[in-house]
Amino acid sequence: MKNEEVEILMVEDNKQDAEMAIRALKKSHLVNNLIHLDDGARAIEFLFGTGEFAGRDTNKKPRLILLDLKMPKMDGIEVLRIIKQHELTKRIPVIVLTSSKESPDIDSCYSLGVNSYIVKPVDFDGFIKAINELGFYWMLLNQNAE
Amino acid sequence: ESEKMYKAIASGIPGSVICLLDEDYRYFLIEGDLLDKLGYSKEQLLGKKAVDVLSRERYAEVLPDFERVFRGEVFTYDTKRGDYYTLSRFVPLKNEDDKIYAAMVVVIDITELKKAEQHIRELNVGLEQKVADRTAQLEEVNKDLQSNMLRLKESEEKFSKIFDTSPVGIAIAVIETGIIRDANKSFLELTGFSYEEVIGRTSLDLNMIHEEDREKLKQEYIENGKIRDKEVSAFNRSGESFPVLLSLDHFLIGEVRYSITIAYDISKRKKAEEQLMAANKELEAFSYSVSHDLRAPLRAVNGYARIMEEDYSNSLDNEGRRLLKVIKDSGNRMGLLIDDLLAFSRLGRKEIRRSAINMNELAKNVVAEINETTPHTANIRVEPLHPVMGDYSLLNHVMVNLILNGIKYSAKKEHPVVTISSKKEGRELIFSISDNGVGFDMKYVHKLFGVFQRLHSTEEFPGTGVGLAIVQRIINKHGGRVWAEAKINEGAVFSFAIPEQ
Repeated sequence: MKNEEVEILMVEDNKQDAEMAIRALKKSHLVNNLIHLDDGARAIEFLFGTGEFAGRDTNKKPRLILLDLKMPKMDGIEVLRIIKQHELTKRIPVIVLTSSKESPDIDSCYSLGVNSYIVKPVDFDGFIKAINELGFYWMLLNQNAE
Repeated sequence: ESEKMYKAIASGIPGSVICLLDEDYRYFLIEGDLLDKLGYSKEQLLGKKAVDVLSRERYAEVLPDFERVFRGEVFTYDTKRGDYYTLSRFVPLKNEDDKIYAAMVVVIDITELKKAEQHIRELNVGLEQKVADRTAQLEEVNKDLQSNMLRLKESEEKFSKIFDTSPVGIAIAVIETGIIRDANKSFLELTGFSYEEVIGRTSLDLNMIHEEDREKLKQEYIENGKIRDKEVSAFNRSGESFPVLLSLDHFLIGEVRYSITIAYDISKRKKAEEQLMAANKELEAFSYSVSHDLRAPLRAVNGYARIMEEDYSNSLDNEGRRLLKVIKDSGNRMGLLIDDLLAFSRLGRKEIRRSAINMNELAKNVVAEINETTPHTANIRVEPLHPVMGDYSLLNHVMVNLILNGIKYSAKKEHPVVTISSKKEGRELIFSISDNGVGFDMKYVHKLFGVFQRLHSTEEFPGTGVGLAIVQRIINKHGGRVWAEAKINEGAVFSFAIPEQ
């Protein structure tokens, strides 16, 4: 709900997974400003400055979107499709972070132009490691479009 | 005059003699060329009495004949004289008063006749023999024919029975024209046609089979001369399609080639197959979803326990920290259980793919990998192993599991030894993995392969109790069996048998 720079938009409906991921990212100082939304519809509203987020400066785009797939109401794949089809948002790197290892899901995501697909490690250690690694890569190493 | 006549008669019959005798048995006429052969001359006999000119024996022979003829008898007889035969005929001559005044004796050389007679007799005998032989032959042939006919009848009856009562559809057609000559009840029921509708028509007329399938079948027949168990779509009288398993063969009767088509309705089977696939898919989706839905909160349990450890360890005493550890360890264990359960379920649905496996290679690879990934002090001995037909990855899993178990349960011994061996018994190949470890109580051997069943506590030896259940499932899928023997503290032997292909 801030109008400032948002570095990471995390779209995740599982509160515990979100909390653990945010804690890890903050701990490794990878991010200061992270917004966590728990369903896809709100995420779209945020990105396009509509509904709940009407009036937000949509040019202030997140540097990274972490997107879960299995969410209630609007499905993650639908969110991905909208993001990657719109001029405004299609250059933002989207990382799908999901428990689904299903080929159809992976295939659909890459067809829609996802930048990375990560299957959430089942154990906590692995999960934290993955969050840290992807954080380092996408926030520090990777060069975004302007 | 009469002399001339007699002479003429005699000369008319070559090889003959006519003589006339009077009451005193005097030859008063002798004419004929046979006389010479008989050994007499005209001068010798003419005008003389027989008693005076014939030898004593000869006269004794002819006297009774003379007496007979002069008594009025007419008679004839044959005589064999050395190498020739004669016929003698005695006829009494009567005068006007009906009194016998002379006897006429005609002797004719019938040697040729006799020879001919003999020849005919011989021919006859020969002929009779030939007839007898031929009759015997014919009787044999007849017997064969009859037994063949009997066999044919039996075979025909057998075929008829099979044809009529067979639960699969059978149709017979002429190959060249495709015209159906016969169809059994099952075929008619299957296709919905009546006998009259089908006989004399072709499957093309009746639209019984899909164009593409027809082409496929033709190809197969041209290549192999027969068709075996081909799945095709057939159409019944109402135009509905149904899946059918088709086999075709041909046979020759005289010059005509016939086809015999066997059609088996597999709609039920196909349906069952589809249902099975659907059920499997459902199960796969279910177990996947279950495992992932279970894992999310598990991640949180572990994660939050860790967060507590990191951020609040100062506020915790030893007991508090111990409690946290229990929470973490339980979470980890649940993760293992979920993993193993998922693997167990997946394995149950997997199709095994058989190939020839060199078990020596497999064992070597497994041991090498174990040595690299798992620290242990066991001496692993691999003896020469028999090759088997089986699924490489599944049997690999079995070996890994059993060898790791062997290592695990002998780890507490000073010199742990794990031995892998095999032997062939009857039509089975038996593989054994033995260790000199802690063994188990044979009283509980029946629990060994149950899911989540363990005979030791997790503190003594880690494990979820699914490993052996998975091994059993895999071996059962190969048509084999598993079993184990052990003595407490002396070790255990785990064996599995796979039927040789």
